[in-house]
Amino acid sequence: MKSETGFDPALYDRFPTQGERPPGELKELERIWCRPKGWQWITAINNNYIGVYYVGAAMLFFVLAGILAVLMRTQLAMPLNGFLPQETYNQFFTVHGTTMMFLFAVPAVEALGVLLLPQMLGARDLPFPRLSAYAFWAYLIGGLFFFSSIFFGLAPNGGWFMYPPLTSTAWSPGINADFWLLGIGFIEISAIAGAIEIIVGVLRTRAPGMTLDKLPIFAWAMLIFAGMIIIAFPSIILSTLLLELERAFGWPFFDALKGGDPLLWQHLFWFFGHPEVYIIFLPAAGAMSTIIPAMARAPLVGHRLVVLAMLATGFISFGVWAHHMFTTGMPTISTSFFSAASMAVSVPAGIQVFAWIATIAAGRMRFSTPGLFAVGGLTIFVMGGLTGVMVAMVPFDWQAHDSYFIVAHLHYVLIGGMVFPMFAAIYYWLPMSSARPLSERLGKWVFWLMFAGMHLTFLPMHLTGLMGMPRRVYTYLPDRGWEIPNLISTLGSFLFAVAVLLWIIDMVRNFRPFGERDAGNVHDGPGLEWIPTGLYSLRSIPVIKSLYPLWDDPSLSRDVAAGRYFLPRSATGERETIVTSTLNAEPQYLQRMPMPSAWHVWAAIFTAGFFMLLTVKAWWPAVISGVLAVYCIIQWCWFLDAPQPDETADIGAGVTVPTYASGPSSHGWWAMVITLVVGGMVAALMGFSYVFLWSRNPEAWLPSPGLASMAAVVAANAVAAGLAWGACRVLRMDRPRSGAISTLMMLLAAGLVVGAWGVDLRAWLESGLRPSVSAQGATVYALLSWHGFFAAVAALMGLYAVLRWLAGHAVAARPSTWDLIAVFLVYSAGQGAFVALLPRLFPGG
Amino acid sequence: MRRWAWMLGGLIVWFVHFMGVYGIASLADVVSRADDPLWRMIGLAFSGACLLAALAIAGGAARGLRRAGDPSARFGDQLALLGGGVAALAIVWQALPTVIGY
Repeated sequence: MKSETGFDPALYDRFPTQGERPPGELKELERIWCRPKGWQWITAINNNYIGVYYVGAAMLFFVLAGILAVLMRTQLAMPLNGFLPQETYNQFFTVHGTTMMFLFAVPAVEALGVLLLPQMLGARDLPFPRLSAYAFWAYLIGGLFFFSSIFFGLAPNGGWFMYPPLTSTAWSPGINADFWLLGIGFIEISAIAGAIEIIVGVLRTRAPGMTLDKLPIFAWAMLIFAGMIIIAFPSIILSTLLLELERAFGWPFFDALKGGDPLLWQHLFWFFGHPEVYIIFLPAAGAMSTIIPAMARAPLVGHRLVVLAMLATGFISFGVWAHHMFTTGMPTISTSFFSAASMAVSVPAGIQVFAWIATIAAGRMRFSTPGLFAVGGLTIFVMGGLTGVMVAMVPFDWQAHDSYFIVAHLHYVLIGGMVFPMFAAIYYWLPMSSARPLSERLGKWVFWLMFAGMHLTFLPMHLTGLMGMPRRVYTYLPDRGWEIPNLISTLGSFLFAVAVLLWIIDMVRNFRPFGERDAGNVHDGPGLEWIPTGLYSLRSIPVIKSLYPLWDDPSLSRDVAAGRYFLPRSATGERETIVTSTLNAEPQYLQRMPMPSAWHVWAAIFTAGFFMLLTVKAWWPAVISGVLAVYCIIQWCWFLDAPQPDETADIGAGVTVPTYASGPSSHGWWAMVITLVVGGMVAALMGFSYVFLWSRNPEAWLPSPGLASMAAVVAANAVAAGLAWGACRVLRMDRPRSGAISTLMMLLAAGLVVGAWGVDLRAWLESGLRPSVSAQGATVYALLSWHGFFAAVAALMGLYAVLRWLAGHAVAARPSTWDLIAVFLVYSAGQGAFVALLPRLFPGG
Repeated sequence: MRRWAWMLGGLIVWFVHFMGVYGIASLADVVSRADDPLWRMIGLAFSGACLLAALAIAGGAARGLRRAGDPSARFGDQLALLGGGVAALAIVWQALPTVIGY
């Protein structure tokens, strides 16, 4: 095999090593990866804990949103029912949809990734465990805050996609909509943090030899899922930001009277919203592609086609957003393009479905609870997919739009594509984390009740929709033929609720996490996650030679547990994992991992506090909370680039790797670049918003400031980028004053980014354009505000660089922090130039 | 990064194509009409260029597969071949509204 990094693959032949490992190695691992005690349960960062917390919180929100669904169905059981008042019903359907999509579906699959991936990939933990823990606490606090709004009558009531003008201040006064905008915007930051963790984890912490063709299908799914979050979620962050700016300060992005356009919201929302469906579906599909082969005891048929299908789904999901907008009056040729693309989605989805059916046919399927949920989910998903092709056809969509047919379609897709696979995953993987598996007998009851309840609830909705019942109505008149299907739907929802209740009982009876041992490989699964593990994950990290390692090498589990592979002990006396290359998973260096601390928890609390206090318009407390959050994050970051006692470490059988890396080979660099892709996506979508709003009303666009200010801004940013890049070079020269000079250069670079932003802002202010007067003003100042945020962070980074230098950390041996600051500053300079160029050169004149 | 770009090349072309045809139709709508014949021809030419690019990637991957390679490299070529093939089909499918009307 051709080496990717210069690593000699012949070294793999040294494993498994022979003979007994020295005594004490395992005890040392257990000491380092020790169990939390007392309050440490809150500050724990190990994926075994955070993963369970995360899945638990997601399922809590599933139950809460499910209760709202049952209450809504009770209201609709009979015509002119008075069980729920109209306003309460509006809040319930909004919070139900929002909670299911934002607080259950995405976090649940992300949680599954955090819980399973380290063991599945053969890593000790994911590369940024504190980031995972921060994401979890931010999500939990933000989610509970959002959901609790319903108890005070303050919950949003504009539907889960919050279309303006219904959600503008004219039609939604009060702070209900702000709960959605700030709450969801904040929670999405947590989702992005989790996505960064998963991308870097899958690409960089795989067991040696786990080349892409041997990457578990679930890990492929999580990688694509996380990549989609990075591209799609900036759109919802931007749209919530713009709508909140309009509500709080009157910047008219969506106000047609001032040149705005409500359709901009729909474009931005659905550019996120449609990929969101696949973001939810893909990890669940990855779970199905793992569970079905295990339950059928046969390799997945068409593994490569399934990988391709998941990738294709990821790509095409960004090309179908406007099929939610067929009734908005778009040009016919545009709707035809979107219609064609929407139908094309069924091809990659179909490939996966046929691969699952073929695998079931090729093996001997065991219909235990995970198998039942997998096959049940497949059936439901296919039914939802077929109605999906129906609504991809424009004339049909015009008829079915906003009717109960759509409610039926989306629930079939989401419940078949995500909820059933999630339950399959819980029943399948739970023995990995619990001393006891869940009950088979109760599990089968849960499945059949849920399966029957699902169909009873949603199948009749196709009819009620085709009979003309619109969605989101709190009641209906008698004698329209809607009574019986609605009553059946309500009875079905009760059945579904009973199934969930039984599952909760099963969990209470049998789920015993965090114990000394787990239930083991009760399903005869083929993946690394089924090797007996401790809190340190695998005892030793194996060389991977197969897609189904436990099936193809029966002695692997024993050898791994005996410490006969990589990292049988702690090489540095600290928490650590092997960082490998992205394609061939060749060992590159040993990453020293952080120990638990409280800073990430405080950072999450104060970040949540910032957004919550903004929601209730407590400006100064919000600022204080924000400053405290920044302080906690700086404390958290301070020890990341700590001195290394040894430059290299033996990771087993005499194979040595460095204990430090910087630049593009380091995991931190990858995380920073992915973070900046998020920033870049927001900036690009803001650019789209600017051009879109111009196209609505070009004649109202005012001339931009002179080109002199543009030249000054671009030149300053170019110099800033050069200085930042040069600072890293100077630091690496390792001369006596390298640290001081490079710090000065970095500070100057940050200062120039800030200064250029100030010049740009002043030029626009002097031009007379104001943000609250026109859509042009709103978008220009939104671009400036977004870049202003980056300029502020750049200033903070400049000061951070000075502090690092003062503390003696600006040294050539550890340039990682410098590299990351430089990458950020170079990006910020580029973004500053973009913000200066776009509004001046387009539309021109 | 080059290897990733190669593996995903066909899908990237597909992405560029559907974003491109949406953009061309939107631009046409601002400048004249979305279904203006001249703009439709521009869209068609763009689809043709994307189709050629997808086929080129698929062809290159097919040639790569004929050479003996390690399993990891073969996997990349297989993905590139399948991706190029899917992209070519999808581009033809999505260009049909321009060709046969809508």
